[in-house]
Amino acid sequence: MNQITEESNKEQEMWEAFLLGDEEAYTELYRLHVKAMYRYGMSLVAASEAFVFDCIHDVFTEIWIKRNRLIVPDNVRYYLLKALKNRILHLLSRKERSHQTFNEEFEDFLVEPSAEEIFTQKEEATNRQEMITKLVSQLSHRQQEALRLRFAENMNYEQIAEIMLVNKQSAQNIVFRAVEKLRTWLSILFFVFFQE
Amino acid sequence: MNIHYEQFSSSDFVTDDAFLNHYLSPTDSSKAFWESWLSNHPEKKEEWLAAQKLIEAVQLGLSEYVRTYLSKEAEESLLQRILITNAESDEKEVKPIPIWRQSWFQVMAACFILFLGLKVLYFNKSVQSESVYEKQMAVFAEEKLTEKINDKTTVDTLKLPDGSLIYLSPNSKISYVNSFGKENRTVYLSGKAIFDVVKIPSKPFYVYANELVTKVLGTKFEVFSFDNDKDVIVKVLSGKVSVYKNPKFDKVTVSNIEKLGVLLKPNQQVTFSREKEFFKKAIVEQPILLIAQHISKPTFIYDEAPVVAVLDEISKAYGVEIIFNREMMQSCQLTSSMEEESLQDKLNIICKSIGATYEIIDAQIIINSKMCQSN
Repeated sequence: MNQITEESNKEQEMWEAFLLGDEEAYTELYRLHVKAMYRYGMSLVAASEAFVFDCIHDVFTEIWIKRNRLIVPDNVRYYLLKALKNRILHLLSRKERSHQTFNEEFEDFLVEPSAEEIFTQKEEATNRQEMITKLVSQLSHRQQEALRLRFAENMNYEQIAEIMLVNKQSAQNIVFRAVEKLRTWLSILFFVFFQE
Repeated sequence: MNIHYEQFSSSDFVTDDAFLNHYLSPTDSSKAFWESWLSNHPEKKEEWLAAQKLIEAVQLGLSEYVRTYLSKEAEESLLQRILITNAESDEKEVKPIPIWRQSWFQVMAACFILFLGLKVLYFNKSVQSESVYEKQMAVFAEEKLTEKINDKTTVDTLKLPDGSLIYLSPNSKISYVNSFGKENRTVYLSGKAIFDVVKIPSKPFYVYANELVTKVLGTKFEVFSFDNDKDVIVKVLSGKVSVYKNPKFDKVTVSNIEKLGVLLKPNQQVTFSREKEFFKKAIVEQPILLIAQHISKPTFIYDEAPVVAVLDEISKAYGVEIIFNREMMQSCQLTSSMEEESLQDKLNIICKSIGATYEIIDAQIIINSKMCQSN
């Protein structure tokens, strides 16, 4: 944990320098976070890489213009990912309004692969990683997003809740349901595996 | 922790903060906690181990996501695009809006401000005895002020309500409103003082001294600003500060005032000429080692060490930029021990031993060297 706090202190110092107009620190922050922003952005809208690049561009140029008015966030990664998602949703909502939210709310109940489907995937997958990756892709988009934020970007439930526009308890529930589904699927698979 | 772990399933564990943090970066206390918990609840050990396996699986399932590949070229070209947009927007801020795009009201307002500005200038000429500091104080006539004057012959140490320290030199005075720290942290200085500022990221600390404003978030620096001096000097001991002209003394807009100033890093100083109104950035006279930023302090003892590496080490240790020709100095070597020498002495020793000279221009050290004989 000490290492983590030290790193975040360093990042906050960089952020302060950037707020004072230090372009070097700003560039350093970009380099530290652009990969996470890219992968998170691509996971939200995989269809268009150019669109994700545009949104990252907008987030960074916006904070540069607003630097006189910004404060230092507790968690820079969280701040940038949240800003990126807001930007993406803002631009998307201009294009298509109503459909998006409808799907998001109900998709948790829509996607539920059958046991056979899971077995087929196991047959197709050449290794464990590929297999679990496929299982993860069977989860709803929101569940996948929550898992990524939790286990890849190391965010806490409050931060996940903020980004996903739900309350903290719901964020925790989404992660729990996703983990529980994976556990069930894995146990079915390994049960079959040991039977063979 | 009052969580009922004894009722936890493996998925509950995976969702739990303490469990995940322990899995990602175990500490001595988290290790001790789980060890003792497991020895008290041996029946849960299987579930707990299953949870570890489950987290592994989840991370494996996300590893493709984590490794999403962004090429170096794409990263660079996006950065260039961002920096170009920034440069354009910075420029736009400076450019005045064409007059035909302004409403008549704005034009009228501009005239009025110009008129006020001229009036103040005229007024200044006639009452020259009043210092900038006194003028600033007059603005706060309505608010309650705390003023500290050091008329002793030794340095006075003051503690501000936020815990920041001020070492106030003789013949100097400082003041701040009694609501200091509630909305912002601003002090007014006449004379010389060292500031050791407590870091509060949401509340920058401002020092107004003659025509200059120094803005910091948490750092240590020194300001020289006597009413009758020609120059105002700000020296940085640690951290970074930005220094700019007080907008009250200029017709620049608030949004771009900071651009007209300078950003200072440790061991740098800026001198502001009050008469000619320009900033001159330089290295402080006695640069100090920036040990805090180093894990171990360099020994500065060298035995046939490449000079290029020595210069890199010095540059890092003092936080100063040293410009030199790497190729030409590639075979230069140095054998010397300079533990106690100042930065200037170190540079003298190095330059003497390789037949080079150095000069300090702005805040950079430039070394003019000849080719060294390779052994």
